[in-house]
Amino acid sequence: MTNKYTIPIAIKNEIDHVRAKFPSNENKPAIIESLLILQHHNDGFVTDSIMRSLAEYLSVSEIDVLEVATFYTMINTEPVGRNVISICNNVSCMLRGSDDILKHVEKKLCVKVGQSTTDKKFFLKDEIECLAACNGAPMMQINHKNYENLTLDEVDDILDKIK
Amino acid sequence: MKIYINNIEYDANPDETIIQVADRNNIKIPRFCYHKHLSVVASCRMCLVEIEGVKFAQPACSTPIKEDMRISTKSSKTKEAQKSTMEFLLINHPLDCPICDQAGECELQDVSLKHGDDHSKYLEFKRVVVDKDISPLISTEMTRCIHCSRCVRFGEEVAGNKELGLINRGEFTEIRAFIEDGVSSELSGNMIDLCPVGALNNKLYSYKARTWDLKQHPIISPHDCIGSNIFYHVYNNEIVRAIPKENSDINQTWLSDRDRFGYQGIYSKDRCYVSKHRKNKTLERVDSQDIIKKVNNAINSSLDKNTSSKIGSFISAQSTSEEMFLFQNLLRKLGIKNIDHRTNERDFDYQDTYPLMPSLGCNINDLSEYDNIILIGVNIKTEYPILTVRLNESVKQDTKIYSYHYFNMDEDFPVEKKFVMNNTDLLSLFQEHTLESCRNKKNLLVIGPNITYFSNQSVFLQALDKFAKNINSQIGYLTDFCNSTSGWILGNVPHRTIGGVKLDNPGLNATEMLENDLSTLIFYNLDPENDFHNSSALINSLQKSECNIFFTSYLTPIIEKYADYIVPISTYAESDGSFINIEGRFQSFNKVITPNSNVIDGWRALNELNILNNHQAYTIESIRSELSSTLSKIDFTSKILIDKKKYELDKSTKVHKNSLRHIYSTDQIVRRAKSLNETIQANNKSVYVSRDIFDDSENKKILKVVENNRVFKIDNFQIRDDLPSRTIVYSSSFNNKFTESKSTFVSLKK
Repeated sequence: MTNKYTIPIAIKNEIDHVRAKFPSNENKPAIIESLLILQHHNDGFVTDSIMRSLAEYLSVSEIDVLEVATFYTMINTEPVGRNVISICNNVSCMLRGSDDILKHVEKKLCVKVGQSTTDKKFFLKDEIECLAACNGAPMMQINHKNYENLTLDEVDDILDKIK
Repeated sequence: MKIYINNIEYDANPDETIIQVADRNNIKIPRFCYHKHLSVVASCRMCLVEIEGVKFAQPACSTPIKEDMRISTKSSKTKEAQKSTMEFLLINHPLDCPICDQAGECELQDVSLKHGDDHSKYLEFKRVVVDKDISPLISTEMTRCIHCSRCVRFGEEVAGNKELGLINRGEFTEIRAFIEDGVSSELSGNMIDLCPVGALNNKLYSYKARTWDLKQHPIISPHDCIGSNIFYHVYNNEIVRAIPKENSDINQTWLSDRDRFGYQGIYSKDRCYVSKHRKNKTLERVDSQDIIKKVNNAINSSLDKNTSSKIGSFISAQSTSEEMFLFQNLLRKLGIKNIDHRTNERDFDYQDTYPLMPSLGCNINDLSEYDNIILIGVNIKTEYPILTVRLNESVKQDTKIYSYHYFNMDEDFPVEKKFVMNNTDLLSLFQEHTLESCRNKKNLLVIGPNITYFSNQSVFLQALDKFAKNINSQIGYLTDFCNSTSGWILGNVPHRTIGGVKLDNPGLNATEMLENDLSTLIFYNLDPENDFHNSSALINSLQKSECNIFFTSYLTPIIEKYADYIVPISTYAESDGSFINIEGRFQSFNKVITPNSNVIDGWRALNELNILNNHQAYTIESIRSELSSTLSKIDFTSKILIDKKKYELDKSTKVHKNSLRHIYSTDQIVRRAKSLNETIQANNKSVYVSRDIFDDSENKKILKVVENNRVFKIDNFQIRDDLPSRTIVYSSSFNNKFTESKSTFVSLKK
């Protein structure tokens, strides 16, 4: 069995803040945001012991937490790369060539979509829906920052500059 | 309100859904995810029906009715919708019915035959899901799962312990537990019944028989005093599985795992199949025709040699009412008064003022009518799992539950407040304690079996009586065996005879019989290793007595060592019988399987002895008519103890040594149920010690405890900070084997 994870007090305060938004007898709605907070402090993914500690802290069952964590793509249950690349593939971007960009990035980083590079530098995220930047299609988002009107050369430039 | 289904008018209540009205009127609507005891999710879409004026077919399970609604369950639109849903559900379902245990009773199979199409448009690969080993009781075939989520909702809503969940989404959705073998609920077996396909299966029944070859026999649970109704399924004279028999007054449609899998104990290797008699210090096989005569001669020669007061007799409270009736009938006619069924108890001072019998004092269905239920020394989750369902229902209807115990244990329903204290502290608390929230409310105080194991039971009961009066509460009892009620009513106690009639010259109680060097001891259906509070006193008296007669279904080392006569008797399922449950409900059942030809029906053996002594001969019908005439005179509403004796409160500091009733070692049958004893709960066998005792002890590896001038060593213990002060708790009676007294005060040697 994995070691017990103790939630640091600073994170507990953040979770308490989330919990306060919901009725006092309902803790389940707080799971999703709490997981995001915990993930942020743990290199972008949550482990079984983190989920177990959260379940204990929120007095919900462990499986409730696992259900949420596996349902949403923004929560990762496996280790991922430091820099998260999201390439939009919805209609506007697709019409402006996002498929080529995705293929190019896959080839450049030697990963398939949904995988991380072996040096854990990049994580090419799966199941990306519209990122609300259709005016700048094709676009991608790296670590919550948008890059728009992309060409293949620009993509190379952007990726090379990231540490 | 009136609605029309298939153009026929039906009455309905405004808060009902279509499927509820249809079910009440026997109109068949196919369904997978809907279950009358679970919440509605409308996820399977199988119950789609056409409603006049609505463009698309609507799910019957979640659509509330409206005045003059016109529903059609047979129209072409309904049929088309159901056929399409069926095609979707079968896309990923494997066609492995020939090797599936569910085949023949499978809802998917039935519905697909009636509502599905004979071909599918889907030609691609089917989904495959890896199986999980979720529990020693449930086997899985997750590829067959259709994601109806009944098992998930059962855990969350009925059992109060959500262990299975739906993880991932879309094509990758699957049912699993957080950790692989994560299903440990005491009610987990119900998920097997709920599963409409063959995804969750009964592990014990795996590939044993086909469902259409089984014979179904009703029986009553012998494992707790609730008396759940069960159907045993028999194949070639062997019980292969158990399913609940619906009884809305007791177990509804549920069964605890103990009741479902406990039958395995009948097929234990310890079963006793031959009659034996000790000759020249060795046990010799005797013909089963002769053993009753030999036993009769032994009892009568003992009566000739000594007085009847030198004969002691013990009967298990797990025996059937018929056996209990004949047992005391035989012995009392022979003039033997030393009869007792309370082999687990120590203190008997209370017995003269005790009610006629222990009783819950209300019907199980009425539990939700109480404002407050106060549990004393009982853990419902492990001791009466089926009541968890009822208490969960009660809490939803605003009942508050309080718990007083010497050990902090989890419950699967919300507990308003837990009081964890040791014996002495609890006693002083009850003297003055009033629960503020109980004032002017309807209260029920439930006394659990752990209280009856206390060495100061009488003082405790008196204090509880006072507490009950303080908070104006009714008193109810829960007993440790399934038929303790019969033990009391049918006169298997030394001071009262059948019907609770008081005796002027009472016999010896269970403890006195072990201390008074009797010459003959008779044991009926008892396991000497585990069913006595004091095994060493028992061994001592077995050594001293001249003749030990065991009527038993199992051979144990003590029986083999000390028995002079062994009569192999039937277990509950191998003979006709009856149990009286804690509400006072008399439930009879018939023989389910025929035992080995050498095994004698318990009641027949006793009847035979009656005949040999020229007493009246009985048939099962004549016993039952006697029993029902006795029961008709009894008032089952519970009474408060009236005790005029004054007890002194003993407040000197001592060590409190208690044991917990372990879920799968409560009676001799369930102790031998192999699969149940492989579960996580069963393996929780250890000794818990409070921090202060550990700090006081010199040797930190082995604690020494002195009791009745004998020193007991406790190694391999765990320190628990949530234990009340000066407390040692044995988590299982197995661990307590041969230690003196299961529950007592002892002094600690430094």
